[in-house]
Amino acid sequence: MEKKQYERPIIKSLNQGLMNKFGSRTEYTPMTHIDGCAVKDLLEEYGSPLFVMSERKIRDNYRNTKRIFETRYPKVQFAWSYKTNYLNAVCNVFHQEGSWGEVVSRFEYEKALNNGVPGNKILFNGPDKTDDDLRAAIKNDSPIHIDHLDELYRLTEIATELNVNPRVAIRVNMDTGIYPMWDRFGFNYENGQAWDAVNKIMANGKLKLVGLHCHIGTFMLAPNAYGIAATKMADLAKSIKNRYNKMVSYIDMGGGFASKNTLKGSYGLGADSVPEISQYAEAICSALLNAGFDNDELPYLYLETGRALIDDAGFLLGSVISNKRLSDGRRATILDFGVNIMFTSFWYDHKISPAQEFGQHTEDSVLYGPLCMNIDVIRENVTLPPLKAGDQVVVHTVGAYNITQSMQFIALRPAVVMIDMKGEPHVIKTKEVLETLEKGEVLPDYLSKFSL
Amino acid sequence: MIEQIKYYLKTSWEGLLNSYAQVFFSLNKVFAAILLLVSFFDIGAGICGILSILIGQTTAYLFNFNHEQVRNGAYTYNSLTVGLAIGMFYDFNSSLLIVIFVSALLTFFLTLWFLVNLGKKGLPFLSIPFLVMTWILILGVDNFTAIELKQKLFLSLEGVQPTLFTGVTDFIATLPFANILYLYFRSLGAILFQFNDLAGILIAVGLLICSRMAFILSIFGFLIGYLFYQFMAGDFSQLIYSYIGFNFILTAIALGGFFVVPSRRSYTLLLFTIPIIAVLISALHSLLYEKFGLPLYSLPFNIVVLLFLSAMAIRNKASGLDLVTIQQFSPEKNHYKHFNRVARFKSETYFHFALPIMGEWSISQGHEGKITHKGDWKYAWDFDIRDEKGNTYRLPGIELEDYYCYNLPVVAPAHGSVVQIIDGFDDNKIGDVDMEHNWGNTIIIKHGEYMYSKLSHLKKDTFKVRQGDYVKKGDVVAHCGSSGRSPEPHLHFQIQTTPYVDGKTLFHPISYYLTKEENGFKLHSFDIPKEGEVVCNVRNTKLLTESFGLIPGKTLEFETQNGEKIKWEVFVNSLNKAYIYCYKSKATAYFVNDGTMFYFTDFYGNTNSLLHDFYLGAHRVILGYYKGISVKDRINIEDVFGTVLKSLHDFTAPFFHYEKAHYMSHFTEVDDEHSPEKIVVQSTTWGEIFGKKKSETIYEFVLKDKGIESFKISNDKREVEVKCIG
Repeated sequence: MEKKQYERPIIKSLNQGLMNKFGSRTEYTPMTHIDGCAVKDLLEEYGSPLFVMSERKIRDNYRNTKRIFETRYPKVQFAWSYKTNYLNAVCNVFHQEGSWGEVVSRFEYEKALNNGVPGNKILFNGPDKTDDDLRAAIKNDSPIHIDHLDELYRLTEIATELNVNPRVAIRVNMDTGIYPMWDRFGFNYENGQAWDAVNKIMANGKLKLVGLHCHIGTFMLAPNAYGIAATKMADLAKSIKNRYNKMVSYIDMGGGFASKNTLKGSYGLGADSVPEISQYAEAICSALLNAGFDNDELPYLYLETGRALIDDAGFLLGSVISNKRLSDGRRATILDFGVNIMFTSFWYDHKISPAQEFGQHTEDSVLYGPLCMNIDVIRENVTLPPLKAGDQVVVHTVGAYNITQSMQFIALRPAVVMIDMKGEPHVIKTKEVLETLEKGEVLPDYLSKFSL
Repeated sequence: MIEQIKYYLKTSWEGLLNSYAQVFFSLNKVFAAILLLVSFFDIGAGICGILSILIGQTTAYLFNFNHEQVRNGAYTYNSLTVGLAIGMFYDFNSSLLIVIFVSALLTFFLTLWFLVNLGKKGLPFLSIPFLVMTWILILGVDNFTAIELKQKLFLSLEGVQPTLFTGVTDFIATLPFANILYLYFRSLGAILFQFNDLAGILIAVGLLICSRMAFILSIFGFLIGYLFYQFMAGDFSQLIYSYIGFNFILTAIALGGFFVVPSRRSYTLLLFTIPIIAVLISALHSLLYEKFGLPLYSLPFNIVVLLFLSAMAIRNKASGLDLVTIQQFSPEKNHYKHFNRVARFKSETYFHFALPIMGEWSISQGHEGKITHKGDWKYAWDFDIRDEKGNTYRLPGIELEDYYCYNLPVVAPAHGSVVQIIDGFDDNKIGDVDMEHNWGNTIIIKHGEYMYSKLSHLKKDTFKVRQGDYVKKGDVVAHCGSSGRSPEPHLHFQIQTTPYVDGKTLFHPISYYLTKEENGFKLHSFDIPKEGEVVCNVRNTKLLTESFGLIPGKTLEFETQNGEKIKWEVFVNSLNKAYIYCYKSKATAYFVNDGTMFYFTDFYGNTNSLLHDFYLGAHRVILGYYKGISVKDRINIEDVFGTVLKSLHDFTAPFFHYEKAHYMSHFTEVDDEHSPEKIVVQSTTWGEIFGKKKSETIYEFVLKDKGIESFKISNDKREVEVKCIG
C-alpha cells in the first residue's frame, strides 16, 4: 500500500454554498496521467516545467471538426494556422490528417515548405509581406491573401515583371454585429472597399482572383456572427460571378472558434459556456448552402481553425517551489513556470489540477510564477488543495499560442513532449540551454575582456 | 451528279456482296467473294443471281425504300437465292430473263411484306420470301413452255452425284468418314444450289474465315442431325434429296449464334432443336414433296427458328438464353459484345440514386438487417455517424445533441417531386421509441412511375421543402432526427414502388458511392452499401464535367503529329443515344454521361481510327477528382488481341474465356485539387491470357481550359500524340 500523503493543516472559514452529499467539500480530481503517461515520470525524465502535447487529442479534435463540417457542406478544406502552434511535430500531425497550411509570415511560410507542404497548399495571410515574400509565394503558386491596396499594387507590379498570374484572394472585413469589429485587416465589405479591390484585380487582369478570405475575430462566442459573415462573403462571391462571370474557387472563413478555456472576467466555466463547433458549422454551412450557388459551382469552404483544434491538446506540467502567506492572509503558491511561457494567463483563468491524490480540503490561493517580476501571476485566485514544495500540477488547455508566444525572460523555455497514439512520449523540442539563448549574439572584441 | 452515281454504285456494290454473305448471316466481304465465286460454278446461275439482286436494288431505289437495307443486302438476299435457283434449274434464254425479272420483283415485294409483318413481332423473315417464290414458280411455270427445265433433275434430285470437280470428290473418298464429309459439304453447297464438293469446301472455308463460331456450329448442327437420323434409323434418302441437311446447318448458326447469343446454353439448345428439324423434314417431306411435288428447301429451318424466337419473346424473364438485341452479323461480335455488356452494365439501373447524405456516414443497418430491416422492409438502409472508436455519440451520450448525426442535413437522393411530408413528431429521448408513429417525421419523393424514395426519423420542423416541390439530387430536404421508432438519432432510407409511408421496400442499388478504405476511397457502381461501411457520395469536379460534357452539336478537332486534322461531332440517334462521329474514318462511338461517370458503350467502324483510341482510352472516367481512386472496367477482347489470338479464342469462347481485356483509369496530375485547371487522366488497357498480362496500352489525356487539350497513346508498337485544336 502506498504511503499516505502528508497534508498540512489549513484553517478554513465555513462557506455557504451549494451542498453536495458530502457537505460543502470540493471534489477536486487530480490529473495523474496524460494519455497513459504518469505526470510524475514525465517530469522526472524531461525536467520541470514541461509542455506536453497529446497526439491523440489533436487527431480527435481534427477528425471531429472535419466531420462536423463535411457532413454539413460537401467541400471543406482545413488549413493549419501556423501561428497557433508551429512546432513541426504538431504541424505535421495536422498535415498527416489532410490539413493544409496557413501562414502569416515568411518564416512560417518557410517552415511549412520545409515540413513538406506543397506550395499551392499554403495560404499566405498577413499584412506584412515583403516583395521577396510575394515572389516566393508566386514561385510556389501559393494563394496570396491580399490585406491592403499597397500590397495589391506591389503584387501587380511583381506579377507584371515576372509575367505570371499569381493566385490571390482578398481579405474582407465586415460588420457581423460583434464588438470590436476587426476592421484593421483587409478591405471593408460595407463601405465598398472590398468590391473596389475586386474590381481593381479583375480590371488589371494580372492577378487571378481565386478566393475570398475573412477572419471576423478571435475567441468568438457568437456563432451567428459567422452566419452573417458567410452570407456576406457569399454575396460578394455572387456579385463577382454576376459581374465578371467568374466564380471564386473558395471562401475562407478564417478561424476564431473559441476553445474550452475560461476567459478572464467571464461568468461560468468556458467548458460549459462556449459554443460547440457544430454551432459554428451550422451557421456557416447553412449560410453557404442557402446562398443559392449553382450546385457544380459551390465554392470550397476553407477554415483556418487553430485554437479550437489544439488548445485542449496541450498541457503544462510544473512543480511547486514554495508556499507563503501574503500580508493580507491569503495563501500564495510559487510555481516553477511563469508568464514567460504561459502568455495566455493574461487572457484566461486556466484550469489547474494537482498531479497527485489529495484529501477533500481546499483553500483559496494566488499562484505565482518563478520570475522576479511583479507581473508573474498565473492565477489571481484559485481554489486548490493545500500544495507543498515539490508537489506537481497540470495546467490544462495551453496548446494554443503559449508555445509560439513564449519567451526567454529570466527563465529559459522548457522541453515539449508529444505523447503518441500508443502512449509513448517523444521529445519534440528540447529544453533550452544558455547556448540557445546566446546563439546569434555577437560580442565585439573590445568588450570581451574586463577585470573586476 | 457524279457524286450521286458514285453513291449508288457504292451502295449497290456493297449491297450485292452483302446479299451473298447474308445468306449465311454474315456481312463479311471475303466470305461474300467466295460465295460469289461459288455461284459462278454454274455461269448461268451466277448471272441470274446477280440479275435478281440488281432488279431488287433498282426497285428499292425507284420506290425510295431504305437505302441502308439495300446496302446491307437485307432486301435482296432472297432475290439472290431465287435467281440462283432459277438459273440452276432452267436453261438460260431470253424468256428466262422475263421469269427472272418477274420473280425478282415478286421476291422483293414478298421480302418487304414479310419484313414489315414479321418485323412488327420482332421476328426475322429469314428465307420465307424465297420459299414462297420458288413454290410459286414450281407450281406456276408448267404453263409456260418457253422456258425449259435443265436435264439436271429439278423435281427428282434423289441421289444426285456431283458432275463438277469430280477430282475433289475422289479425293474425299480417300478420307475417313467420307460419307459424312460428302453429306456435309454438299449440304453446304446446296444452300447456293451447288451440289458439288468443292463448293461445299469453299463455303466451309469461307465460313471459317468469317466466323469460327458459325463454322463450329455448322459442323455441330449437321452432326446432331446426322446422328439423330443414324440413331433413329431414319431414311437417309430424305437427307440426300437436294441435300436438305443444310437445314441443320442454318438452324445451328441461327439459333446457336446469330439470333441467340452464342454460349454453352445456345449450343446445348441445339441438341433439342436440331432433332425437331429432323422430324419436320420427315413429316413435311412426305406431305409437301410426295403430295404436291414441292421441295422442302429451308422450310424446316424457317419454322423452327420462327417458332423458337416467338416463344422466347414472351418469356416472363429474359434470362438464361439471351437473344441478340443489336444484331452485329457475326456470332463472335454478338457473343463478345453481349458478354462485355453483361460484365459492364449488368447491375446498371434506369433510375440513379445517390446517398441521401452529405459527407461520410456509416451504414448502421443494411439490407436484411438484424434489427428492423426484415420482411417487407428488408431492402432499407439506416445511416449514422461513428467516431474512431465506433461510437455514434460523444460522452456522455445521454442527450440528442451528443449524437454525431443529430440535426445534420439530409439531402434528396435523386431528382423528383415531394409527394408527402409527415412532420410534427418530437424526437425521442435517447433509448425511447415511438412505436405508434413508427416512421416519425418522413418525406417521400417521387422520382418516376412506381419509383419513390423515403427518408424517415427526421427532426421536427426542419423540412426545407414542401409537398409538391420539385427537388434536385443533393438538395437539403430536412435534418436528421430521432422521431418515430428510433432509439437514437439515425436516418432511414428506402426505395419503394408506392407513395405510402408504410410502403414495402424495393431492391435497388445506389448508382455511385465511395466507401472509405484504409488508404483512401473505393468506388462502387450500382452496388448495395453494406452494414458497417463508411460511405459518401461522389462529388463532381467542374473541369472533368466540362471536359467530358459532350453534348449534341459539340465538335472536337484534333491534329496529329504529322499535321493531319481529324474532326469529330457529337450526335444523338433516334433512340436518344449519344455518339461521336468521326468525319474522317466515319466511325461512331456511343457513350453515356450520367453526370457522375463518362463511359463508352459501343463502337462501330475502323478500329485504326483515332476515335477508336479515344473510345478505349476514355472508356470509363469518373467526373470527380479523387486522388488515388481508380476506375476499373472491362473492354471487349476484340479491342486488345490481334486477329490470330482472338480467332483462336473464338473456338472456346462460348464455353469459357481464357482471354480477358481490362481497363483502368486514374488521375495522375492535378494543379489544384479544389478548382483544377489542369488534370491528367491516365488509363491503361491490357489483355490477359490464362491470367498473364499482355499487350498493354497507356493513354494519357491532358484536360485544360474546360476541355481536352491533348492525348497520348503509347504501347510497344506506337507512340501517338494528338493535340486538340478546336
